[in-house]
Amino acid sequence: MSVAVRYFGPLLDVTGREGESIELELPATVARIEEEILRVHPELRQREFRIAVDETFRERDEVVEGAREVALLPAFSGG
Amino acid sequence: MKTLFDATEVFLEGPIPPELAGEFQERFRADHSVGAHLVFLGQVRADEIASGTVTGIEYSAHETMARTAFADLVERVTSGSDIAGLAIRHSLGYVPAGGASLLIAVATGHREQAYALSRELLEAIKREVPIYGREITNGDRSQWKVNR
Repeated sequence: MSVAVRYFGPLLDVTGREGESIELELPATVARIEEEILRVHPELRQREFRIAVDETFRERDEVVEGAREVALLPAFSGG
Repeated sequence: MKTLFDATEVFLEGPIPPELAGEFQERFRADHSVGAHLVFLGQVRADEIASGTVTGIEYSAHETMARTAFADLVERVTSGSDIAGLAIRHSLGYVPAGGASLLIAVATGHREQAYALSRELLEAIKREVPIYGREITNGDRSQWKVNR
C-alpha cells in the first residue's frame, strides 16, 4: 500500500524533501518499513531517528498492520 | 470544569509578543487564590556557531504529534499540583535573534510551586516535543540546533 513518509529536522536536508509516498507491503515490522525507506534514501543510514506510525512512536520489532503516515523523527531541538 | 491547557493554541507564527505575559496575568487577576505568576520567555541568542553568527532560528514541527506531546506532558507535570492557570506558546517559522520563541506562564498559590512547575515544564518540552530549530547564520548559511 502507498504510505506517506515524512522527514523532520536535519533529515529534511538529507532527503531533500519534507515527505513522499512510498509503497510498503503491510503488515510488516517497523524495521522492515525502515529498510524500505533506507533503500530509497541510503544516506539516512548514517542518521539516528525514531519512527512514528500514525503519530505513535513504535519500536523496530513491532508489527504494523496498516499505516497512513510514517514519520522519521531525529532528536528534538525546540525551546 | 475549566480546561487548564488547550494544546490547539500552543503554536504561534513568528516571535511571541511579550505582551502575552501581561495578558496572562490579567486573566487571573480575579482569582484571589493565586499568589504567584511566573513567566519564562525563551529568547533566540546570536550564538557564534560553526557556520557564523546566528541571526535567527527557523522552527518547524510535527504539529499534530507536538500538540499531543504538549497535552500529555502538561497533564503529567501538573497532576496533583494546585496550579490555577497555565499558558504555553511556542513559535513556528522564523524568529530573529532577540525574539522570544517560547513562553511558559504559570499561576499558582505560592512561589515554590510556580518555580518547580515552570522548570519541569520547560525541561519536558525540550525533551518530549517534536519541534526542530534551524539556526540561520549571516551569509544565509544554516545548521540544525542541538538541545543541550
